[in-house]
Amino acid sequence: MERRKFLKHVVAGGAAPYFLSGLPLSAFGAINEAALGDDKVLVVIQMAGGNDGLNTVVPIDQYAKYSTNRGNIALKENALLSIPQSDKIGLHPSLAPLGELFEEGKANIIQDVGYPDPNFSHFRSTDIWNTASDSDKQVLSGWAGRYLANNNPDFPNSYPNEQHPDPLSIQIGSVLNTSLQGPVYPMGMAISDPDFFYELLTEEQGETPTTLAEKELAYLRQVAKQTNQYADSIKKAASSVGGQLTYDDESLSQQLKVVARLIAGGLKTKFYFVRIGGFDTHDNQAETGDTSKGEHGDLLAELSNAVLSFTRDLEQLGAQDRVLTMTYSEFGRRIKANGSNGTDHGAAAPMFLFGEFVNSKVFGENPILPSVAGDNESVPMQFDFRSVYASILERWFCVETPQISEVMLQSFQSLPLVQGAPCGFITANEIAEEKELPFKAFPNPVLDFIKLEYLSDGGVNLIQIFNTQGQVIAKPVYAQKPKGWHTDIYDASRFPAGSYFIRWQNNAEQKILKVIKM
Amino acid sequence: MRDIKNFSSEPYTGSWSNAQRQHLLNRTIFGSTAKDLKAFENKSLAQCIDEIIEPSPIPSPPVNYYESRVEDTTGVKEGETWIRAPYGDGSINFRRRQSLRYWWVQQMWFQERTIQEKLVLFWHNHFATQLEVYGRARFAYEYQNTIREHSFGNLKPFVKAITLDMAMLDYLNGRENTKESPDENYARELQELFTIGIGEGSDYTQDDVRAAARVLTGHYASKSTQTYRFNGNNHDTEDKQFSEYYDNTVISGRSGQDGQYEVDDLLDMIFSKEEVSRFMVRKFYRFFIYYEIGPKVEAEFIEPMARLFRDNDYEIKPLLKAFFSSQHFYDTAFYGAMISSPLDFMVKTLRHLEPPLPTLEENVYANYSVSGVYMRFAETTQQYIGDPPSVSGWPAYHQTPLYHEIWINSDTYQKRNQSILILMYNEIRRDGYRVVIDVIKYASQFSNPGDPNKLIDEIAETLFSLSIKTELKSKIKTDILLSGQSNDFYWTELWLDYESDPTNVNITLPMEERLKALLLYLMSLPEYQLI
Repeated sequence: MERRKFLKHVVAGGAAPYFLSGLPLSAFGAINEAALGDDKVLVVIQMAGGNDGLNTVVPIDQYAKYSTNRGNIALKENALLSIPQSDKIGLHPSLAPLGELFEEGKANIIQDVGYPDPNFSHFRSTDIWNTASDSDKQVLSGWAGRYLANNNPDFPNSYPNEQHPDPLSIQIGSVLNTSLQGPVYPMGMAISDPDFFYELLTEEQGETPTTLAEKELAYLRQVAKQTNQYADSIKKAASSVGGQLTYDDESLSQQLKVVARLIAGGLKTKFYFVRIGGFDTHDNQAETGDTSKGEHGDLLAELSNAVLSFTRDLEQLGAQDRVLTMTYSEFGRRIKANGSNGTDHGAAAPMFLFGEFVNSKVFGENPILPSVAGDNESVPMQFDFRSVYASILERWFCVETPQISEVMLQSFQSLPLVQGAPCGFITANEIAEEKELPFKAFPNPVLDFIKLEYLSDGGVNLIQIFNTQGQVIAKPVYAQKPKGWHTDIYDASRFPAGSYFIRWQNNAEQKILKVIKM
Repeated sequence: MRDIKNFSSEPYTGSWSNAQRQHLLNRTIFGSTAKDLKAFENKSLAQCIDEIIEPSPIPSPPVNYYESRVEDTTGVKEGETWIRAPYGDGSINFRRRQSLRYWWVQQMWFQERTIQEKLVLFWHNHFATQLEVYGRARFAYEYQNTIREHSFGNLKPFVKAITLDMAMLDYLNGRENTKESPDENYARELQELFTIGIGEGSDYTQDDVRAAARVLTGHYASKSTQTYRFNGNNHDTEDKQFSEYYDNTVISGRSGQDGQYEVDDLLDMIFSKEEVSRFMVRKFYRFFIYYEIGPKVEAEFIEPMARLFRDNDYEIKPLLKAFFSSQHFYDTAFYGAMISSPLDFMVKTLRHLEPPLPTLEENVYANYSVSGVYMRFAETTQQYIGDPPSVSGWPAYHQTPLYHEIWINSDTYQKRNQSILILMYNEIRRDGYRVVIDVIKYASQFSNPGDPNKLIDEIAETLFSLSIKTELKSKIKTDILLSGQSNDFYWTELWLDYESDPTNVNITLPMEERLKALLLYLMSLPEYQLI
């Protein structure tokens, strides 16, 4: 049983439900009934091309190193946008509209999200993010598709039905994102573009046929509209929504406008995928002179304007409590700028979450920048993207752990990205302030042996060593460890000289240290 | 809407490009694949037509594929044909019927580049019988063999063969037609549906139907021996008087075995009516060109073609040649103006995608039952091979005012798309065999598959008679082949990587996924329904 259902059952049953996971129910605070309903939605914004994380979220605590490495695309320090969640970062000035959402506690940042052994091909890396596979494994189904298939094992037989009158997922675009591919069938419906959506609503006829073939085409299109099994439910939902706010004319805004209307109209669709392309900024990423301008700035402005309009629209439509929005991109970009005012394919990059119930903080620390990065040096991962998905399934869709592991194909770190209320969790930071994470690796620089000290809170402890390309080259610790300090010694003498990142993870906590091998 | 410009039945001499060749192929075979277009690339219209109207040899007969599921108690072994075997029982007969249908779909799927299989379907629709009604698998084999033997030949002996065909004798009660109790069923349809038609120029009377029935008494199909015979004792030996419409013809009664030849006199009389030629040419027209026949088409195309048919003494092949060589046929108004029938849709998809099929030697059960899946795709979308819904054939070929639009409704349209989805996602499995579509092989047949624009252009040109908008092509390129990237090179790079390392799954899987999505998208477009 899903945690949420259990909770709901208990609450509605009126019994004396004092304990859940050992905690008195009252500790959960006010439970938002709307959020508990079966109508929560995840909106996923795919930023195709590989978003430059370092110019999106700038580590101002290392501004000088940033500026050196970034050369003529470095953003000016005084132009950066600061947010209340952290004084160590500055956002790209084009993200100003998102500043409002950070101020209001409706946005968060997850730093340096990636996966071990990053692949630098757009296609492969996109597939890895969508299928949630290991870098060296091929998986054909998508993470959201597996979740939907898990809950709808008979799909598409006798769908839609009374219980599932609406598409399980909706993609705005010609073809479903691979994330929505189930083990066998695509688990949703694609609305090729907003125009098609409005045609569906107005039953607008295309051009009047003038040839025999056009006559048949018009007939086929008409039937195609009727054939769309979900046309009625979509029309019904869309027409029940009154006025929407004005969005700008950019593609992402128009896509999200459709999504807002469908959500507010009450579709029971769980996932909406939208896309903004063009983040593959090998050149002209920033203008010489004013580095806040240029292609990357334009894209971030399009993104942030769209997200702000979408949020405000959902608020005035009264649907804001039901929606969580996530951004992702197939990879970040190299630390060092290239010679064409751009950046090449890299590894980890930040993700954003937006919504009433996000745990509004910056997760993780700033990446540790080298003084002068090598040509191939990328930001190493701090968080595995799959722990973001898993945490959303857990804390937003209230999926139980065994099912999460089934959907995600293995177990991942659970992160308190979403507040406790929607699924009745207590998030760690809601109870206690963060403390300095207890992980040490020394000596630094390392000659041969490296001593790893870490304070386990019980459960699995994982220590990985990455090279600067993000590849995992060693896994010194991967075991259950009782509460308390532990020490391991690792022989790093075979490592070539250079920089390495050592990542420790225990339950919801992790820490990355940089060490130099002599 | 009146965009037909050329009504002439005279030979076409205009531009002979891919568009014309594609139109010819779409209408005469099941789909025009890249291979078909390539084969015709450097051939003249005359050469193409000569190839198209060449009969194919009679295929080797359907076999016992069912032995591993139902034992054939009549001694037919697995892999052997059952067409001369005793009836057995209902369960065996049922399997044999399936065997025949699956085999029939295979004939279409693996057809030669000729009109043969579409012509068989045309005649099956014309001389319609329902296997579910007459039942016997053996009859069904003989019936479609009758069609194959005569499909390019002369219409008159063809009609005679059909008249004496066991399936038809059973289906339209010919076997019960005796001098004591004449049964008019076949005699009526012979005139009304098979030769003269109804309406203007078809003024035969109820008495003519009755007289014709009497002519046909005594022809018999035995269910126990599964053979045809003529029972002279049941034949009406009196003279048969026909109406003024037939010039008051009297067919003299014959007795004994001689009675069986009265059918020749009957057909001579029927074929003396010019209306036969018009009726048949219209029937061809609706099946192969377009469903509406306006006065101009009637006067300028049907009439001269009917004359040609008569002048050639009802030889079918010269008619086909004139038909597909005519100016009218190549009027661009007709390109893509027809909705493909379910069998056409299914078989053309098989011919484009070339899903593998285990050979009879490898797995006879899978060979047949996988073909059965395709047969069922067509069946569930309203075209069940062997079983048109009535003696009139499938309504889409004759029912005003919708005609071929009848094929498409919200249920069938969805099922057509669903069948492509099932095929594309390799969800067809039988007896441990899984059908896996090789989309990379499919893409490799185009001139420069590493260029995403060219690839989409060429696939679209092959799949559709109509052109699709450039903006749409560009959008699906970005959305599907480039996964949202704006630079074409990423697809090119993937293709180059594949060429240098063709077995690397890190390369082939992302490619397959994108190509499948592309084909799925294109084959779901309304344009793909049209031929």
